[in-house]
Amino acid sequence: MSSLLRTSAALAVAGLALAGCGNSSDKTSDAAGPALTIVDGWCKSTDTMPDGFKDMTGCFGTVKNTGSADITITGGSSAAAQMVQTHETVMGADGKMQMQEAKKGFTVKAGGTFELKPGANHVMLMMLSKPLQIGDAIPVTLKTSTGEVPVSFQARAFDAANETYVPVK
Amino acid sequence: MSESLLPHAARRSVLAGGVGGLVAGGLAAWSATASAAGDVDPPVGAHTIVRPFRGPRQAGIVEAPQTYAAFVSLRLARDVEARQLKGLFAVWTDDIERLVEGRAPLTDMEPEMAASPAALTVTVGVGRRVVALAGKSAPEWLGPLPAFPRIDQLEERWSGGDLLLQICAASPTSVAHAQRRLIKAAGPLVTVAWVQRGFREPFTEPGAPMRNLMGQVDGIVQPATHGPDDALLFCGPANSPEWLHGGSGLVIRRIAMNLDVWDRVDLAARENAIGRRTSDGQPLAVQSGSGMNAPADLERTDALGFTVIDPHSHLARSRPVGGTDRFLRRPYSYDDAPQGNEVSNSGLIFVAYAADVAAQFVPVQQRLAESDLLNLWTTPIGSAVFAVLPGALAGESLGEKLFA
Repeated sequence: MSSLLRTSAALAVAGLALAGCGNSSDKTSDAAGPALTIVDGWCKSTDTMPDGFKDMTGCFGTVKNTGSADITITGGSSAAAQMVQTHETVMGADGKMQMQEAKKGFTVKAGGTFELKPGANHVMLMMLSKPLQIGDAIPVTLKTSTGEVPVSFQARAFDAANETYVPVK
Repeated sequence: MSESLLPHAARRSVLAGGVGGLVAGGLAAWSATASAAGDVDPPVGAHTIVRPFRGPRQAGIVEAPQTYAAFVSLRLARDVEARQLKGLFAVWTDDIERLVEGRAPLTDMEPEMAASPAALTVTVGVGRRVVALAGKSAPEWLGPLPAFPRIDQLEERWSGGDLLLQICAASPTSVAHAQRRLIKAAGPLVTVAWVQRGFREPFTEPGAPMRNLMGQVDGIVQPATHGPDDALLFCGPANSPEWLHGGSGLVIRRIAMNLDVWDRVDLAARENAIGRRTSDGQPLAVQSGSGMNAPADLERTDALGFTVIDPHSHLARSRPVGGTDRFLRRPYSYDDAPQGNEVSNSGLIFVAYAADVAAQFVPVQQRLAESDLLNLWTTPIGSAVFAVLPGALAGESLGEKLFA
């Protein structure tokens, strides 16, 4: 984990001047916001995606809940995309892995972590407003059961986990 | 005596004794495990060693060279912009820091392979095009060296490039993994211009120079790497733009050795060509003392009146004549598959670090191009020059000032 990423995530969540403080794991829920942070947050840059698939991307990392109550991520918003959803990856009727919206969201247990991984649960940015280039810091505001949580994902070249997206009816 | 030659029982007692006098860095790291396990052979490399990444200078320059290296030259895609390069350097900085610490980069599909850093260092350099894209001024020397038509037979497949990764480790697996991860991390921004893989070992104890594939002790005369010669090794206000302060100049030349012809040369002629004894690197005539570091006596004559050290020997031609025509050599050997009727396809990846390539390196190369007996058996077939960036301090990316 780069101290840069960790610090920026902590800063974003707390909204406090935490310069020099690289450790976000000991934060507790307080009036400044929920105790939700993302460690090692990254998303797929669009430049390694095949043409025709550059309008959406997956966001990954370890979600940490340092508070004393469970928190559920239900969606979000971002200047980089028109739609932000929680996605899961399931096997379709044809045996191929496909992505679909996780309608119940992601619940991060009190004091626990929740992994967002390629080919598994992740946060999906859809209808991207512009290409995401390698190294770009992509701001996302997660919608949770305890309020909005601003986080950041660094765009990375990554060409695995190209599951088909299937909207849930 | 090499440890692997010890009788089994003796080897076991060495391990149980906490490795005793065998002080080679990483040995201490596995001694505890090994002695607990009883009779386990030591690993090939020092797999758990972590070399520090953060600092005002990049790692991989002044430390004792690791056994394996890959020099990776990358070419920028046609339409790359400065902000994309800045993003790439942010990603590389994070990836390199993780890799040298034995942690997997964020996008690593084989994270298990990162668990063995093996003293990995990754040293990043840039070519003139990167500096131009960043809108900064480049030192005069950043670009192809002057031509040396008497010796050069440069091939494009070993020359030039826009970005350079010097990847070194005690394990070739660690080198290979870091190389692939870092190239992948650049996505479509780069293509591979060339990769040169090399290896080296100290010819005696740790820290000693290596023996090249002609059998010579290579890299004896060196600037001090612990401070006194820092102005020769690292760029500063006297010779460089601010973005390069704490960085260095890097020359990589691929020197093919015609070993199949060298095989026909007897020992006396071989030693005459280099000006040193093959056995231990001692100059053929010394002013005082003994061993490879004894000062050479270029005036001493033999019974016939000839100087003992041939004035056209590599030693005589390459020795510094001013105070500043010195640089740090960090070479590796290569040994590729023979082609056609060759018996060998071998040579030297000549690697030199100098704060001012034009002032320190070029004069020596010019002298050697004019005359050096070793030229009979060696041919430069590749050449590239890069500006090695300063190190990244905590919270910084490599190239922080270049892209500021």
